Amino acid sequence: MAVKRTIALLTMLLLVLPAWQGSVHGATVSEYQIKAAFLYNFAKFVEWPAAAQKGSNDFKIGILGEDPFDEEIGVIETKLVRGKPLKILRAYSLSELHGCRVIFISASVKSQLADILERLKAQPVLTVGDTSGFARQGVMINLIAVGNKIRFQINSNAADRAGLKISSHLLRLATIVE
Amino acid sequence: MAQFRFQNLTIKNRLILISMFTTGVALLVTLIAILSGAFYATRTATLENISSIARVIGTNCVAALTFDDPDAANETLKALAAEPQIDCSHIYKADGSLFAQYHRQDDNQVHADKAAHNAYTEIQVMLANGLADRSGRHRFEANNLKVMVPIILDRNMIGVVEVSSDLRALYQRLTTVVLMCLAILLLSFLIAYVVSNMVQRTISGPITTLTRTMNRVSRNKDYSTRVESDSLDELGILFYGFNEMLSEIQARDEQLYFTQFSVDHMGDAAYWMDRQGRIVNANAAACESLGLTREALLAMTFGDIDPTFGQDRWRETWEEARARKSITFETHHLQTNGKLVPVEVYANFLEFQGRAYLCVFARDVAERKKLQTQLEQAQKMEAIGTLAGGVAHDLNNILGGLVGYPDLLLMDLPEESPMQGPLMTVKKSGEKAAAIVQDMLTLARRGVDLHSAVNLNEVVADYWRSPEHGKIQQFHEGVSFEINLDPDLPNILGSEVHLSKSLMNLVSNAAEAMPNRGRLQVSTFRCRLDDAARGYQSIKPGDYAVLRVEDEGSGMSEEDMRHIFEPFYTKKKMGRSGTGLGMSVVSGTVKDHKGYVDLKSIEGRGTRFDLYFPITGQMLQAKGATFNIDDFKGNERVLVVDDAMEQREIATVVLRKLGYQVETVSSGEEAVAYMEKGPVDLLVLDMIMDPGIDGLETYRQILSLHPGQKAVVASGFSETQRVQQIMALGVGAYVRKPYSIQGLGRAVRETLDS
Repeated sequence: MAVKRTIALLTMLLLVLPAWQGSVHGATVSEYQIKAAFLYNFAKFVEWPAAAQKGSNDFKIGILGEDPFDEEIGVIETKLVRGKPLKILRAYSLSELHGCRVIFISASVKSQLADILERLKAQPVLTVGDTSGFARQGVMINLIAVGNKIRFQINSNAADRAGLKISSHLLRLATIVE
Repeated sequence: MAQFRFQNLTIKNRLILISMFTTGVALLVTLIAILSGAFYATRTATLENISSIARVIGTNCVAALTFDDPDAANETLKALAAEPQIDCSHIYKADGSLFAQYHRQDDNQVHADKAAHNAYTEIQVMLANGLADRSGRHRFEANNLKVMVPIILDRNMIGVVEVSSDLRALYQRLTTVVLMCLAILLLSFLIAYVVSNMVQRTISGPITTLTRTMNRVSRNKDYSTRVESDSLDELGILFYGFNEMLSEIQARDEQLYFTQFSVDHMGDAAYWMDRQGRIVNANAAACESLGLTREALLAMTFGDIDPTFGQDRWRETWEEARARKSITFETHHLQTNGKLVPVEVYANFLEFQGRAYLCVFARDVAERKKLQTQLEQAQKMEAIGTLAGGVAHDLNNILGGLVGYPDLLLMDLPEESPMQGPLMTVKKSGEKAAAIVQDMLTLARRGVDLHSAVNLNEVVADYWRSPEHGKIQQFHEGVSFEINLDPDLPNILGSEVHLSKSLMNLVSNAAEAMPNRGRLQVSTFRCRLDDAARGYQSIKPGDYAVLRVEDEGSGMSEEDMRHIFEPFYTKKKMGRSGTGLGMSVVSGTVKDHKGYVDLKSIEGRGTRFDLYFPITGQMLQAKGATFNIDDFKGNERVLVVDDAMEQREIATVVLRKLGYQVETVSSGEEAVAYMEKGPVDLLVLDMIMDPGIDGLETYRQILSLHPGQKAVVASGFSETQRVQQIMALGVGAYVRKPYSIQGLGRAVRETLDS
């Protein structure tokens, strides 16, 4: 019993660590640690088309361009998403990120965004960025800082086009961009 | 104050109480069940409602929690304003910190904080439990319900939502329901009371009727009362049984009454005694015979009523009665006046309900004993009378000559003859002998002629003048003789001679009872008895002329009184006076006159004889003139019929002396044969002839030859049935034997002249 309880407590601590660090003790939790947690949590509020979910044993998240998370991504690397282990891929070329369900588009590839989005068009991939203006350009979820908190914008049209269904709960938290 | 007991209530009240109690308990249980059911159902519904609200909130805040957006959470919570019963709500993060909150009233912040604080521990536990507490928790407080539901995302508890609901409105509604139920309860009680009050009458009504009837029966002892009922239930059976019981009691009462009546009205005394001889019951006759009240009698034992019984004799009697079931013996019972009464006891042994008794019937045999004594006396007298009669008959015939011849001789002798004296002596002796014979005949009760009226006053007066009385007076100089006669004394039918003789005997005895001096009184009076009088003898009711002789002499013992009328029973010196038959003659005379003797005597004080004679309305006959022989002379033909030679001779001499032509025959048959030759002027017919036909038969046969044949009948006896019959046939006169000139002469002359 005591063992079970200890495991449960540890799991909980790991789970909530990002949000906790981000909100209450912002000084000790880095921005990208929070963003990494967000990246992971978004997967829980988005429904991929049934076809996209078949065939793979893991849940791949790709980072396109220069990796801003560095070590911070580690907080989520060991977790499971929808019962599948999480796998982080890093590439500068979109073609290397084949099979990823979520692609974080780094600010470093801002100039090629239109091209990237064009290539990802009609593919069931959730695009996430943290660069001002990305949402308006077609990135589905764009993380922004509001005060000392991380908030996000959602381009629901882009998600609709890709055949992704974003949970209304998530939509309520976000700023919707057309 | 009397203690309340259910058993003491009337059936009516008990029935009402039972109905009320049953109804009350049933209603109370039902209402409690319904109320608690409603209470828990409402609470459960409330809990489910609040839980689902909490879950909705939790779901709606998953994203806000995940992405740390308390504003969004607060916004979600604001939707609770649509639920007025919800006071407040809080959302806690997985680390236990407050994430978002909602309060109905802002100014209630302090309260809310406190609530939040109170919830904190529970939140910590829930968070620690993790998914084990997936279903959430709740807590009912005084006025509110707190529901805590975990917020789960992807199988992880990411927070807890707590919703607090105000229950006061709910409780108020429940209170209203309780009050309504109480009202229903009261109303039901009221209805139950009214209904049971009506229904109980069907049970308690008949029972009350039964109780009243029972009271009436026991009060009035009227067992003819019946309970009216037409019901067929158990009460109907009860009533039927009660009526049956009454009928049986009535029948038994009747039997008992008859039995008791018989016992009370039977002549014999009845006693019931127990083994110790105590009298446990007695009838009315028992009380009456002893002169005691029932109460007094029931306090006594056998020894008190029968002093001749000792303890030993009682025990013997008891054992004997037990062995033989019933025994009879004679004993004496003691009356309250100290008199011992002879009784015949019939004792029956009986056992009843385990106890043994003697049922004793005691019959007063005093009267029976007396009657028995009288019967014995009468039988003795009868025997003597028969003997005397037989002797007297023969003796009378012999005495005929002794009395008759001196008369005839004296008639022929000159007065100066020296034979005059001796002849007179012979005549007197004969007469004395004839008197004894007459006494004996009187005893035999064959000599009294009851055809002539007699007045006792004349009997007394004649006697008083007689030489016999003179002699008695002479002999008893110290005695004063007094008479006290009732001038209005009625006549009686009887024989003056016998009455005179009886009087003489009584006076003689009375005088002799006073050897020195004393007063002797003879009195007569009339006495009317309306009821039978019991004295020495039982006297029938009627009118009587009483002859009383009383003296102041030595009196008699009871023993003497019992035997005084027996012949030859005497206390006097024999030979001095009398024949030994004096008192027997008195008794016989009284009997012949259909009268009674009463006798009272106290030793040393005197004796009183009362002779009761039934009166008659008949007048006295004129007394015959003094005897003159010439008046009776005649010359007619007379046939004397007599079986005794002496009698024939005397009759012949007497009648010839008077001038009649006399023939004699010695039997009835001869007389008839004689008469066949031709009639005579007169027959002198002896009544009793032996052998051959008697006077009556002779006369009958002669009458058939010569109807209207005149006759005189002669006999030593009188008043026999045959004498009466012959008188009825037409015989002119009856002559007592032995014959005297006067008697025979008068009879013959008067018959011939008639």
